[in-house]
Amino acid sequence: MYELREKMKWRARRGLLELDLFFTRFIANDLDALGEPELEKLLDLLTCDDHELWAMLNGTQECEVPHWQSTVALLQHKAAVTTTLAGL
Amino acid sequence: MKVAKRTFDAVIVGAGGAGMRAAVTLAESGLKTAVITKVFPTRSHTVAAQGGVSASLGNSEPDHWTWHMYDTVKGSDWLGDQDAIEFMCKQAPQVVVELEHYGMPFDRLDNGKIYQRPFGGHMSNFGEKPVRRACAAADRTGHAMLHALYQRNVRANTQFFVEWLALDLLRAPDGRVLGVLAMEMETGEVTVFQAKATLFATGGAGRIYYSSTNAFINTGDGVGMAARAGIPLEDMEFWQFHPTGVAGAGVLITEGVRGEGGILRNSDGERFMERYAPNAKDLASRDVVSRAMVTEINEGRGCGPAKDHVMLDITHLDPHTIMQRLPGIREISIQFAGVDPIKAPIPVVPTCHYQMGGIPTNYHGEVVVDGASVAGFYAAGECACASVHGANRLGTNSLLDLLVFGKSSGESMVEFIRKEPAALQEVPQAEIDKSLARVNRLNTQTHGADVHETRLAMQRTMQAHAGVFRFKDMLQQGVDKILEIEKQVAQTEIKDKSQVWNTARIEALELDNLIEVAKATIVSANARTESRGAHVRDDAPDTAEHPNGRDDANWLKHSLWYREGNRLDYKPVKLEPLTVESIALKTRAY
Ligand SMILES: Cc1cc2nc3c(=O)[nH]c(=O)nc-3n(C[C@H](O)[C@H](O)[C@H](O)COP(=O)(O)OP(=O)(O)OC[C@H]3O[C@@H](n4cnc5c(N)ncnc54)[C@H](O)[C@@H]3O)c2cc1C
Repeated sequence: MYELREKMKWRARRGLLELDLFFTRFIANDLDALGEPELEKLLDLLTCDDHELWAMLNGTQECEVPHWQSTVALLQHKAAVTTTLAGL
Repeated sequence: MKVAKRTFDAVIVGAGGAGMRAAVTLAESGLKTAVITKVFPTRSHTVAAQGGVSASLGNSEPDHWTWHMYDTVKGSDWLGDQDAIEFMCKQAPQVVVELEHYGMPFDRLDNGKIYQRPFGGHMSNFGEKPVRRACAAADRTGHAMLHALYQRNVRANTQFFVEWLALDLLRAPDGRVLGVLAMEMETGEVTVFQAKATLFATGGAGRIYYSSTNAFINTGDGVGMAARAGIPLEDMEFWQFHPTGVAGAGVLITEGVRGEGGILRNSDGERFMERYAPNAKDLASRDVVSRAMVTEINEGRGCGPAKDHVMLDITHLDPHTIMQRLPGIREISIQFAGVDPIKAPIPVVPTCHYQMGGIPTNYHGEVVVDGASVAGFYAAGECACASVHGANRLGTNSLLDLLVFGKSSGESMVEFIRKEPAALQEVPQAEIDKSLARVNRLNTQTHGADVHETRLAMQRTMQAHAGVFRFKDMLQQGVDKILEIEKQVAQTEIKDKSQVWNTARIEALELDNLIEVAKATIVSANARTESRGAHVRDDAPDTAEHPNGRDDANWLKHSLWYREGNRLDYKPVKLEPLTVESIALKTRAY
C-alpha cells in the first residue's frame, strides 16, 4: 500500500501544470483514504495522456473507459472545484 | 561504493522534443542509444506546447528563412548568435517536413499542405507585416510532436529508461564527459550510464519562480548537473514572463483571451493598458503588458487582500463566445482561481514562462567552454543556450529549437562516436563517490531544513527580486538572500528515508539543481546593468543614448556564470551569420 501510494505521488507529476495542481490537492486531502483496489485503478488511469486526462477530470470530455469511470468520478468529487461546467 | 554500470554509444538525458529528436538520429544510425527520463516520454513538458512550431514554409503566403532570421535576431534584442540563428531558420522547413513524415498530424490547408497561422513577432519582408509561419496540430502541437517522435524511436530500437533520475555528470580528469550517474525510482538503486557521447535535453527550470507556467518537473536538473560539473551557464538572467498566469497557480491563460476582447483592470476597475499602450492597449507585446501590470501592482493598484495581482475581465463577452472561441479557459479559471469568468474577472499576474539561457553550446549541439568543445558532451532544447533566443524568445521558436538542435546534436554525436576507439575510459571512482555523497547526505541528515519550505523561500525570493521589472537594490538584496537559502539547501532533511518511489528524496535532489539555476540567474541579473529583451532594470531606463535602456557599447555580450567562486565572465555575441550579411544593430521596436 505504502509503495503504491508513493508510486502514485510520482506518477501524478505530469507535463501539464493543470494536472500537477489538481493532484496536489488530491494527494494532500484524500490519497490516504484510498484502498488498494482504488489505488491500482488510479495508477491505471494515470497511464492516460495528459490532455485526455485533464479533459476527463475537468468534465469537458466523457470518460469512455468503463473501468476508469468510478475513479474519474471520485477524483472530480474530491479535488475538482466544481463538476458542473456544462449547461450555460 | 561499487555501483552497477551500463554502457552505450550514446546516453541522452531527457525525453522531451529535443532528447527524442536527437535519439531518432542516433538510433537510426545503428548506434546503441539510451534515453533516461524521470517521467514517461510523452508526459514531458513539451506536451504543454499549444501554439505551434515556426518554419518559413510559405504555404499560405510568401515567406523566406532570411525573414524568419531577421525576426529572431530582432526578437533576441541582438543577443542571439547569428550563426546559430541562420542555421535554425534555414533548417526549419526541413525539420518540420521530416516530422510530418514521422507521422505528425499537422493541420492542413485544402490543398493538403501544412496549415500555418500568424504568431507574435513573426513578420514578412524584414519586419513589414505579420506572416503565417506557425505550423500546429490543433491546440496539441507539443503532444502530437512527442507521440510522433516516441513512435519513431520505438521503431528505431532506442532503449528508454523511464522513471530514472539522472543525478550527476561524470567527467574524466581531462574534462571529457563519460556519462551520468542515475537512480531508478522504483528501487532506489544507482547505476553508471557510461557512453562515448552524452546529451542533456532536460528542459527548463521555470520552477525557480513562485509563479510559473511550467509543470513541477521543470527543475533545471541538466543545468544544475552541468554547473556542479564545472560547466558555466550562459545568459541566465534572461527569463520570459507571460503576462497572464492565474494568480497563485501559474496556469497560462492564452493571449487569445485578450485577442477576443479581454481587458486588464486594476483595483479601481480601470483599463490601465490605455495609459501604457494607447494604440495596442491590452494587446501590446508580452513584455510591455507584463511591465504595466507590475507597475500597477507596485504603485498600490493591485487587487485582492495582498494587492498582488490584476484582473482579466471577460464578463462583457457573450458566454457562447467564451465557450466556443476560448476552450479550456473557463475550466482553468474555475479550477484554479475559483471564479467563473463569465460572471467575474480572472485574477492574473505576470508568470515565468521560458528560460532563454542555459548550458553553452554551438549550433552543432556541442557544449563549448573557453572557446573549445567539451569532448563527449552535448546539450539541446530549453536547457541549452545555442544561443538562438538571446534576450527574448519568439513564440513557436522553442519547438523549432528542439527539432533543429535535437537533430544537429544527434548528427554531431554520431560523427564523434564513430571516431572514438571501441574501449571506454574508466570512470574515476571519485566522480561516482562525489555524486553518491549527495544522496547519502540526504539519507543521514538530521535537524535539517524542510525541502518544501526552502524551495518556497527560494521561489518567493526570485519572484520578488528578479521578476519582470528589476531594481538595483532589490537585485543585490536578492543575491544575498539566495546565498543564504543555498546554505539551507545544503542541509535539507527528508523524513522518509525509504528506497522505493521516494518522491520526497527526488524533490530534495531536484532542489539541489534549482538553487544552482537561481544563483546563476540572480547573480547574472545583478551584474548586467543595462536593460535588454526580457531583462529590464529600473536603473537602465529608455533614453536617447540608450533606447529601451540597452547599452551595446558595454553589454553586447553573453554572460557566463561559474558555480565555483560564484563568478561571472563574458563572451562576445556572434554577429556574423554563416552565409548572409549580419543583421545590423537597431532599436527593437514593433
Ligand atoms: C504552457 C506552455 C506552452 C508553450 N507553448 C509553446 C509553443 O506553442 N511553441 C513553442 O515553440 N514553445 C512553447 N513552449 C515552450 C516549449 O514547450 C518548451 O520550451 C519545450 O517543450 C522544452 O522542450 P525540451 O525537449 O527542452 O524539454 P522537456 O519537454 O521539458 O523535456 C525534458 C525531459 O527531461 C527529462 N528530465 C529532466 N530532468 C531529468 C533528470 N534529472 N533525469 C532524467 N530525466 C530528466 C524529463 O523527464 C523530460 O523527459 C511552451 C511552454 C509552456 C510552459
